Amino acid sequence: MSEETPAGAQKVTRREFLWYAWASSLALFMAGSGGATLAFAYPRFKEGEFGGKFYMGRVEDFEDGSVTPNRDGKFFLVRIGDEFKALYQVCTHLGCLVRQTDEGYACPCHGSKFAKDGRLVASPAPRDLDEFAVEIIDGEVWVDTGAKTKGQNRNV
Amino acid sequence: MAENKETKSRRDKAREWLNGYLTSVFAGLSPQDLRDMFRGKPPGRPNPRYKPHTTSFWLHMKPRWYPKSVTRFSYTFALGWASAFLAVVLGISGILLMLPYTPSVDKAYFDILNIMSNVPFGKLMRDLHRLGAELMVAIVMVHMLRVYFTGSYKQPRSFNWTVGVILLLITWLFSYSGYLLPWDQLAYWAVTIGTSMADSVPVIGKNIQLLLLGAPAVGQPALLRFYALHVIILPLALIIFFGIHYYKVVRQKISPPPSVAAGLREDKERVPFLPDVLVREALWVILGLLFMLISVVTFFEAPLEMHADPNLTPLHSTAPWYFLWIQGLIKLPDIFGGLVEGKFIYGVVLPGLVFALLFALPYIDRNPSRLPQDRKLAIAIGIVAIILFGVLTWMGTPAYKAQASPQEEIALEFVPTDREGAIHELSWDELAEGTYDTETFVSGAMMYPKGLETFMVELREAIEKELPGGVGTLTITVWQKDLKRIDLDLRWTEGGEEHTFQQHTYIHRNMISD
Repeated sequence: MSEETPAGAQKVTRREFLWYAWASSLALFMAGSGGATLAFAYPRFKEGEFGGKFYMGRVEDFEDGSVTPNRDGKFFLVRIGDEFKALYQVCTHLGCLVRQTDEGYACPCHGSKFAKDGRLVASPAPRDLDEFAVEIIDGEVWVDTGAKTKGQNRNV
Repeated sequence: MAENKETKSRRDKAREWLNGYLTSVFAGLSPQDLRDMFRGKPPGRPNPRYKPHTTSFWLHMKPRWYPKSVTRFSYTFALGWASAFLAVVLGISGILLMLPYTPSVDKAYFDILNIMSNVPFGKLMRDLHRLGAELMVAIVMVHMLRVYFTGSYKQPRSFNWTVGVILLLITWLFSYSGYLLPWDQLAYWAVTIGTSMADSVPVIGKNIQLLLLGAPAVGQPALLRFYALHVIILPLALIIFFGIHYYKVVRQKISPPPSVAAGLREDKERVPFLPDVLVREALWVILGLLFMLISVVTFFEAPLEMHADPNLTPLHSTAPWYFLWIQGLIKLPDIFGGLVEGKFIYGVVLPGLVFALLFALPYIDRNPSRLPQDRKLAIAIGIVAIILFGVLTWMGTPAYKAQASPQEEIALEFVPTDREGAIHELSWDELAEGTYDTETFVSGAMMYPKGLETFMVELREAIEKELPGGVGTLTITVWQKDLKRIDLDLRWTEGGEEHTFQQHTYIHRNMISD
């Protein structure tokens, strides 16, 4: 039964409702397929691959003040006192890889300089070197290149 | 009062804008038109449901209505539609499968393993793609048969039949080029056998083979060429020829059933695309996807054999099923006295002739009538062709003329080294360590695990049949943690001499699904 008023408001019939029900199920299916496609296409990170976790060694293996580069993970593992930092080698300016110097690190592209602990010393980079999360599990040092924190902004 | 008027007109203005926007989204159908369509109201005049066909890109090629006689399912079985549906499924699953796949001989096989085990929904995509490919080849061939038996290839549709045969070729090439990509034993040897027929063409054969493979044998260049064929060259060709094919179908209209075409009955009723045929096609999409998904989840799996080994041809190498008829043909005896190679005649000339006949069919068959009673010869020839295809296909299987020695066949069936056989049906615990002899094995006494008992009984029967007087010994040894070694020893007497044959394989606990 349909009621038509001058304003055009009609009651939804059973047939019409079924159309909307099927259309909704189609929309749900497309959404699900989209989700499955995303799950399919999203990369998975393996241990030892950039984006995954790296096992660096035992705490005792690293001297205070040591800087250990890791090529595949693209980071420097620095020990300062009892604290470990994993500094991402990518310069925070435009993306070149920084090199080790006597005082810390320097970027060969535009001259940015960083201290040993990643602190920004000379511009044009806008912030300290980014860091990867370091976990000490049972005396083992693990660096998670999937968990990055941005360095602090600095004006020098 | 004035306030009410203002809010009312603002709301009305918004509704007006929304209606206008939705009308343009639905290519000329206003929301009220849509609702009327959903409610089953007959359209007004002029019929607004024709507007999307004239104004939108996607619906432009689709007909606005079909004669009712043509929409009967048992007339066309929606085979052409099903081919298009499968092409879409294959395209989407194919694009997704391209993401984790590298066409390199070092990486391809392992990428397939990665897709099947590590990529979320990877196995599903691969199985869907393989199932779609097998169905596609079958359905386009059945579609061709339908068009043949309803005589729809006659004028004015003869050109479109030719385009259809080209599409059949494209479909076979698609399937064949995709076949190589997993780079397993099945792929490698099927392509080696297939392309070796090109070599048999006199004078230019070697050059044709070199062009196909990019090298004297199947290797990295062949993989790259087949990949390029599969992902871009053939898809472009498909788009072009499918476009022509479907455009002609719509312009010339789907051929009416023979009785209608001959004027024996009338068909004035029209079935509109919007909403009737659209709803029916949507239903077929749902059923098609459901059928494919259920198949893939239950019984259908894309096969993957061992990594391609150019130095080892496995027993019972076969072409993909749709080329078994050619494999059957080339097993026929060479009767050409060495002037030309048998495999050239049987593998190149005859299939070429079949294709030429297919192309020329509408120009050979001059009979203007499409009624079955006027086409008895054509129908008989069609049936004979189907039977011939079936027989040649059977001849292509290893059952005809490609059996190895009886001891190799028994070993292949029971303890194969490169595929699954009877021994792989046992669970890990049923593979009880020990030595078992067909001569002394006692069955029915509940002494051994059930699977092992079944295996030994079947082995004994096979030996009695193929190696009379022979004895088979099965030895199961724990080789390492989670690894067992299975040895099969066969001993028999032939011509007064004792013969032995041995084959062994290893089974890892993870290989068995228990």
